[in-house]
Amino acid sequence: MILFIVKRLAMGAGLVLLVLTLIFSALQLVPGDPAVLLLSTGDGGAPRPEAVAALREQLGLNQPLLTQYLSFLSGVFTGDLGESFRTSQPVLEAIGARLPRTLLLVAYATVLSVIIGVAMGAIAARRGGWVDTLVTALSSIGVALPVFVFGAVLILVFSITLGLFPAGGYVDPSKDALGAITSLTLPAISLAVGFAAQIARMTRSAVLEVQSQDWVRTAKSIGLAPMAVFRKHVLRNSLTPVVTVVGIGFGTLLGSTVLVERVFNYPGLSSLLVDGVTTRDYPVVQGVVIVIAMLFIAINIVVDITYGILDPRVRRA
Amino acid sequence: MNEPLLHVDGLSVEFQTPDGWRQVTYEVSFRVDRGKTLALVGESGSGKSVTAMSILDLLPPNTRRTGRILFDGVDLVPLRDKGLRPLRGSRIATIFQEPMTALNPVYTIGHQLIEALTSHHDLDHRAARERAVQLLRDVHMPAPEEKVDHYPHQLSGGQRQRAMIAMAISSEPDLLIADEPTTALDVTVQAEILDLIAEIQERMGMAVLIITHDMGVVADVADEVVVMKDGRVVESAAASQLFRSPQEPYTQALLAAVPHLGKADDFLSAARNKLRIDGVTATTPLPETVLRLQDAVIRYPGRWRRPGFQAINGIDLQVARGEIVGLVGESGSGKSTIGKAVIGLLPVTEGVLEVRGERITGRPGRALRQLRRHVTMVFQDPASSLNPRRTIGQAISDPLLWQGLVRDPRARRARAKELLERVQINPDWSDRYPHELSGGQRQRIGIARAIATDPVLMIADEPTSALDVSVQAQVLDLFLALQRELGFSCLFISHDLSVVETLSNRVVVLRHGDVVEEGETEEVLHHPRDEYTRRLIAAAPVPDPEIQRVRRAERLAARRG
Amino acid sequence: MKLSPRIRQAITPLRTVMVVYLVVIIVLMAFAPLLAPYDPIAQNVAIRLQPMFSPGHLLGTDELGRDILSRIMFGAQVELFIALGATVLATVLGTLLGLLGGYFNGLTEVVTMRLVVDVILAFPPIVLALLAVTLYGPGPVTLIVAMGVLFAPIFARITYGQVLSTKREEYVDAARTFGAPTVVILFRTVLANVSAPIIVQFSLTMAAAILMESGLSYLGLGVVPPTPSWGSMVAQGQRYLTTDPHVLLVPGAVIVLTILAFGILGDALRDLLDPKAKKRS
Repeated sequence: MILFIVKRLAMGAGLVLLVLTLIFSALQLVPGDPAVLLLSTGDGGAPRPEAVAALREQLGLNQPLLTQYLSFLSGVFTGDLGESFRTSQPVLEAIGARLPRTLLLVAYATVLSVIIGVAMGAIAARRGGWVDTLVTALSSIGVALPVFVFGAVLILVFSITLGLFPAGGYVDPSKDALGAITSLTLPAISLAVGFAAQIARMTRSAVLEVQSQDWVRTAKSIGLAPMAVFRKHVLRNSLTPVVTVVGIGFGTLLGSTVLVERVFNYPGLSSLLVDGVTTRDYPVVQGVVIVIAMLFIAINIVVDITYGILDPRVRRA
Repeated sequence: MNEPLLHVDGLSVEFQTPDGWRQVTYEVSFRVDRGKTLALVGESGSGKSVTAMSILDLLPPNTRRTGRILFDGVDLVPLRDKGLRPLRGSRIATIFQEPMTALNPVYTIGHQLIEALTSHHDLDHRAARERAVQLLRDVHMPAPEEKVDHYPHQLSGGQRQRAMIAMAISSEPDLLIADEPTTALDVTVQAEILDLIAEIQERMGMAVLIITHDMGVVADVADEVVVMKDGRVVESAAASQLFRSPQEPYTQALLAAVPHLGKADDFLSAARNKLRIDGVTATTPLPETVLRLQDAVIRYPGRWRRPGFQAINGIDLQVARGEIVGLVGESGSGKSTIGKAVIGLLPVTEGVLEVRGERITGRPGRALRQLRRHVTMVFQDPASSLNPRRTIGQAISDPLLWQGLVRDPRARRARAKELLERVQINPDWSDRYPHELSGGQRQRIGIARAIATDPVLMIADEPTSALDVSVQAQVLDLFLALQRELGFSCLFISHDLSVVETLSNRVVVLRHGDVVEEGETEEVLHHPRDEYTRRLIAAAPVPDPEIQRVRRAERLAARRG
Repeated sequence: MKLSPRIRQAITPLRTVMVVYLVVIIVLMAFAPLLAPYDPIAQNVAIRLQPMFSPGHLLGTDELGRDILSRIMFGAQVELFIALGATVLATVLGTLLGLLGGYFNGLTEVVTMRLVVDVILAFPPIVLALLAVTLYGPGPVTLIVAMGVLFAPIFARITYGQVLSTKREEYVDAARTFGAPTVVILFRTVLANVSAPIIVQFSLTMAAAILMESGLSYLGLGVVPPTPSWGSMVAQGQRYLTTDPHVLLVPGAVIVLTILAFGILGDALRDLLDPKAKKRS
């Protein structure tokens, strides 16, 4: 078991290095001069040579490639992600302020999704019939619903028409916990719809597959009650594929916050990213992408290890 | 006490299909007395498993039972789940065929044992665990205190089955339903498991309802036998009587189709005298060596720096012209590995491989291509060894195309039809696909394909193990007749000694990659010199109750002594 | 027309409706210049924010007086063009990677499947797209390339898995023993087996591509205005949500329906072509 964890961590570290290299090379692989590209405003006018030279200096583009790479890596590991072009604020600081807010939103959405998704998927698989058809239809729609459309609809219905929830903005949870939760509810639901639908689908197919396995019949043959059989020998074995979906979906959720934060005017990490993209504030963009990617890789490692805990056969590898 | 423990009376089972209810078994009746063993025997599709599973209603949903199932006087059919649960696992226990899938892979066997215990008894965790270890000891599980914390995938097949038996006897049931409990096990392990069940039966006075397709197993354990076919009971009788004088034609045919170790000459009509071609008999010195393996070592490729598993440890093996050599062994012996190496699917790591005097080892490429033409293979599972997208005519003639032997497509089609006739399949079927044929028919196609290029040597890798017993006899008959006619040599790989006896001139016994004994079939199988060979022969059940009784007594004596 | 039971089962009323819808959208898109009643970028402030079913404007007008129906039709061109481009790129790239990795093993396998595929999958999709947009600017080409790369891994995994499982098939070994040239056999069999899941995935990826592109356009980072795109129409409509919700809801509904249609098409294709995969819905 320990060996399995160590192996997984090692693979994760390797992946981190590869991902960082990819991000680093993204800037280098731009056709032409990256500085020019970043400064050009799209209206056809060429940027001033002095600005270009200054930017090149700031990005360290004049140094040999290897030096750039190494200083990039060392920067990441010491927490120096550069400074924003616009505000000159250290990127790490800006991220540090915003990250917890986004994490809070994502956590809220994940909890909702998992509870609703697993419940619906399990019930659909167990009951069959019209319940199954209904759940399948709902999950098809859920997966097809873009979060920004759904978010707008939620605002229209629950905020404007019914006045139940605020239309966005940010409430500091340390000052007003209940207010924070209320203002996060609509955004979390927007995020949760697609995710819950995916989880429901995966749970349903996992349960269906497990239900027909031989050990379920064995459990029945030793006299266990139907609910105990379902809980201990069907659900428990279905968890593994579901955990994988939750892990991957978490990452996608991190991405979807980009849209949700815009709809609901939520000042989280993703809106920092989008603002950075719009203003071509490259250090900010790069910094956020690095942080999100690292988070994603970390989540996947946790998922793999959980998989190993849930399914002892995997530990041998 | 003349009241039977279990009285199945007119039991019929129906399955629900999209087209309505379909009847699967018809008015099945039989009785099981306390402490006795009844064997429910039949081929695939006979309804034996369905009948057994319907007793405790362990069938899949969407099934319907009619009739009566009287257990100790109480009819089980009208009972719902709530009424059956107190019986399941406590008075009637079940063990299944595939212990790998019948045990939940994410829980330790100790956990599952404790679950079985606590579902009927009120025990605290410590007491339950102690009892679990004791149960494992009762089923002779090696190192029970360790194994109790192991997962199913960490145990061998035989050990898993012992764990299942431990679960089943945990509440000292009156009746044990055993659904093909040893079909997936090696023959020596099978003997141990059957002995274990007999021992428990004697100790606890338990009755056993065993479902099997193996007449040898029936002869070994059954007091009473019920023969089923296509969902109906064909014949029921006491075991000794059934084997001595079967009444019904189907039973007679079934018994006749079972190869009986020691009575090989009566078995296949083509096997009258095992002459090789050209009047060569068993005592003629070897004319031409078709296959020669010398000091052959076969190692599977390893990963990274670790060396791979060595399956064959330096053996010598020969097959002469026109000879059929039986290669026998249990799982893990390496017999299939040898087959794959001779046919060129695996490289021989060290040593010599020669076919028709031509050296194959050390000369890949051209030599291998030569090999393809002269050495062909019949595979175990005809369903997976035939390309589902090629018609059977194409499957047979493809070797001719690939070897460049017959370039004209029309000539190939004609040859394919010719070959189909040879294997007794209607030549008009040459445009059919494999999935449209039965298992036995598909295997004939496999044989036709293997003789298409007129090979010198044919490797038959368990060609009949996946077939029903009656079909097996026909296919073996065909195989032998073809060998007589065409004169190819054969390396016949099998785990079934009695099948090997009917076909082979010589036998080679393999164990863990080493040859432990070889010689003339008669010699090896009737006067074995090696201890392992003796054990193997003693463990293979023979369809004769008297012989089996004697053998069991011998085995028990050997274990006590 | 005598259809096999499997085909009959796969064609449900819902699916027929969706396929018809898709056909309509494609026709509207293809013939937009001919069929659209108005120029999509022609502004007419006098008739701004007309509700639906106004005379001459079936779906109303937006905040600059532009006809929404025409904008939807021209927007369809953009959406479908980008989605198609990305999906085709993903299919070609992914299948190639999967084939190489599956057939050659060893270093090739490591490079293709571990290096390329796993690294791409290490990013939440939108994030990678945003990175690309920052560096190369918005516009159809960036979007097609970025999304093509993002969606390639799933095709790679499908193909890779198929190559591996085909290699293990006993009839491939059997054919080898009879002298079949391995590459040919493997190639033919893999292609035959993999075509169904790839077709299904093509449809599903179209849905995903439209979803992502509309999201990026919503953020203003997709297609550059004044070219109409459904996502940017939704973004513009958000300001008038309280007073004239149709400005947002109409393009929103079209987005949802189109994504849904491709998704259902994918499911229908799966039932039709690849019934064994039904469990993994």
